[in-house]
Amino acid sequence: MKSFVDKFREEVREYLERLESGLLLLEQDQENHQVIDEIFRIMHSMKGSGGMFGFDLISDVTHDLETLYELFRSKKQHLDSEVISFTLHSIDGLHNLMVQEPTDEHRLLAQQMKMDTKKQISRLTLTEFNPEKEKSPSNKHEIASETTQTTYYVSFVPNENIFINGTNPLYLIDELHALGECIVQVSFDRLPTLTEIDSTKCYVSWNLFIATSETVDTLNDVFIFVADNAQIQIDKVSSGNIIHQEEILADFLNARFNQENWEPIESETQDQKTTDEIALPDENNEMGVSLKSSREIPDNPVPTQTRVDSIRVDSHKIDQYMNLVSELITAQSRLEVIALKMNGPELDSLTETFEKLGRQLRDNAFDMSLIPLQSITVRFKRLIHDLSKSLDKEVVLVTDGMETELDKNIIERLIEPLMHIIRNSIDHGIESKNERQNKQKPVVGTISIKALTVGSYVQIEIEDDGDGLDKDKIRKKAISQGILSNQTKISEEEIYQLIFEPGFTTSELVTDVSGRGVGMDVVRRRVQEMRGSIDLLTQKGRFTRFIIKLPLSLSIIDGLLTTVGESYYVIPSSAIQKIYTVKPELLKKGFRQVVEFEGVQFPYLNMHEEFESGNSIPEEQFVVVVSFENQQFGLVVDAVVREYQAVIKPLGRMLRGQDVFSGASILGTGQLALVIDTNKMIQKYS
Amino acid sequence: MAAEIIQGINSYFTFKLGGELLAVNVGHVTKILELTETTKVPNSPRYFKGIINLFGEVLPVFDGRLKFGFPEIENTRNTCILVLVFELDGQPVSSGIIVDSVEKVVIFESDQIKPAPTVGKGFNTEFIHGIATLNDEFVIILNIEKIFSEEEISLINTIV
Repeated sequence: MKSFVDKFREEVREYLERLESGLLLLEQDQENHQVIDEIFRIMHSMKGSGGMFGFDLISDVTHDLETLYELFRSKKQHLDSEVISFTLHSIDGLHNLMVQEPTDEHRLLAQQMKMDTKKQISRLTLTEFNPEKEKSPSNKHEIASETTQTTYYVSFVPNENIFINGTNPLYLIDELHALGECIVQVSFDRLPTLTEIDSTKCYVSWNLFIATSETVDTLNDVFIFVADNAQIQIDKVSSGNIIHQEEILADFLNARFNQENWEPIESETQDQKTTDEIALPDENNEMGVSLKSSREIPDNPVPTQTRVDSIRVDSHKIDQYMNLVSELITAQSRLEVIALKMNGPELDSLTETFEKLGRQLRDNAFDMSLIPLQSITVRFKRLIHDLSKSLDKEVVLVTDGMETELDKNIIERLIEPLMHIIRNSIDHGIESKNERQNKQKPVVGTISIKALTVGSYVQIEIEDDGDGLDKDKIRKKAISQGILSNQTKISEEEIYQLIFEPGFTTSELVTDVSGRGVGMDVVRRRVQEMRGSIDLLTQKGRFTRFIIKLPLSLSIIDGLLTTVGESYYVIPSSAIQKIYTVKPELLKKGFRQVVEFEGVQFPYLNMHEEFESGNSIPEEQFVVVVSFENQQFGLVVDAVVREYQAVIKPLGRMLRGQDVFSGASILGTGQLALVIDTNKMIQKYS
Repeated sequence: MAAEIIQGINSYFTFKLGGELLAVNVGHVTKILELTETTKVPNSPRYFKGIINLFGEVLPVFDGRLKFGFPEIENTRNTCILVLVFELDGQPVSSGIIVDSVEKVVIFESDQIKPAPTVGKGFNTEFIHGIATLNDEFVIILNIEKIFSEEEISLINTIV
């Protein structure tokens, strides 16, 4: 049972996510009925499965929400931004209600939410419905049909397995009864002999006549949730109430039985006829191809339900798979060592095949654990929506390259830092509407998020067109907060770096949004924990841009295996630009720690000198040139062994005090090689 | 290395270090390894020997002699690595400690364990859980969590 509940939770979370993104779409296009329908469906499903798994509060609250959205779905009322905000708020509430054993607090919350929903409903139903806004002829039809009734024939043949998802067909028939006068016939055609009856299957079907003032749409809606699981046919018998004229009904059934065409009988009164004539074309349209009713389809139909050939896999399983592939690569490098010793051509070729397969498997595993940034943009939209409302600013989000993929673990850990940056941008960056007007900027502020892949790194840029950072203000603040001493002369760039210092805040007053001084330092630390870097570009009065660079994956990297003394070190390939050989004497002669190759001078770090006091320096050393910030920097190692796929193992909590080494990798021989974080190492030793 | 700390046992694992008989609660001991080559982590404190590969995971190894201020002596065939698990910030962490030799498991009831004397031995009493006697010999029962507490480990960083 527990696993069912977990599944349910997961499902609800997904529902809520879809609701959220749907609502954000509606924000832009409040008349998008495709989305409204989708929202309604999700709410209905949530209500159903909530009740099934004992999450009664969820099902209670969504029931009321469903009632609210029924108003929009049936086009009785227009959706407005207040409702959207309200619903978004309710989604947050629903997240909290996802408990099996609710406390009084939960019950209170649910009660409150239900009250609020009812308030929304009464607010909407009390306001005068404005018919001018209604563009479609269905409006006229609706008004007209209030005075008249139409007779339909409904054939409802449920599939045998309809009980499986908990549907009770009788309720549907009941629902029809509620819509108008019915004559119901139950058909037992499909009933097998007693011995063959399977009690979990449905053998019954229904035929009925209904006289109703509702449209055929409404009738169809009754079956909306079983449409995939039953054959439903609704035919118009007459545009009048003929439910008591049994002869006509019999005629209809005869015609139907003989597969003749049945012309709906027009009712006698002239008055009704005219209204129905208006209604008919529209009706046919909706009956035939319901999606073809062109009036509500937006120019760019937004995919509300993405149908992808994909399966859902527990993310733990992917993690496990990744681990296994890592183990395999480690084992395979051991095999290589052994093959080298044994020196048998057959073993060699097998080892080679293994190597190839291992590499493919690794790439495949990589691919699987990568997810597009797209998956988190909804959160940003939501944040911007909520925040700009509460701060009375207008902000739009522009995204680019959101299809860029990153390791899911990175994406998960990226959410908080990015949210924080966006929060800051809206709160501090983007000016108030008045201020923007005075500066002759567009009133609507823009936050843009761009992502692109650069080599083995992904670069994410978050930019706002707000006020930019004020370097004098930052400097003053830093001095007053004791982060910077009064005398220190620092460059402009360094001043901006100060905002990443712990405890730094320029905010004059602490809002609940930001300004509590817990902030950019945490962002920087998070990014660095993922072996990434964060930079800042700003221009006073114009913009602030954060540039985050992140590795594609956390666990396996391509590297260069090198030795210093007797120890192995892995230098990530992504940082390496060139490798030179060098005589140790040449390094010693250097005036400052600078070495020259091909006419270019660059600073270097002799790892042998730093790490190995005892061992003798070999006659020839290697300078591995790596990029450091915008410069080149040489790391001097004793020997370059080979290229190496490094499966990075964390050094563990005992060693988290240092950051020069991002981890260790197990070599084929079982020995360990430390993986160097070149940026950190250069910073530390130079 | 998903080792687990087993609690509530009154058995103690004894080992020798610099001629002294020391002990830890048996619940903290997960493995005894032969002395192997460690991979040095540059610029770490001397008592931190380096890291080793323990079944595909990285295990940090400390030199018990240096850690407790005993003179460094030649390794013998009895020298080995004791793998301990203890709690750090509420999470189990494994770590190896090089000892001169491992002895045996003995049972001490809690009333047999006396509090550590505040003077003498040149030992930081903070590290000592208590003292018991075994065949007229003192056994110093160590407080593992204290020994590897956060403060101590960050030394690795400050020395760099």
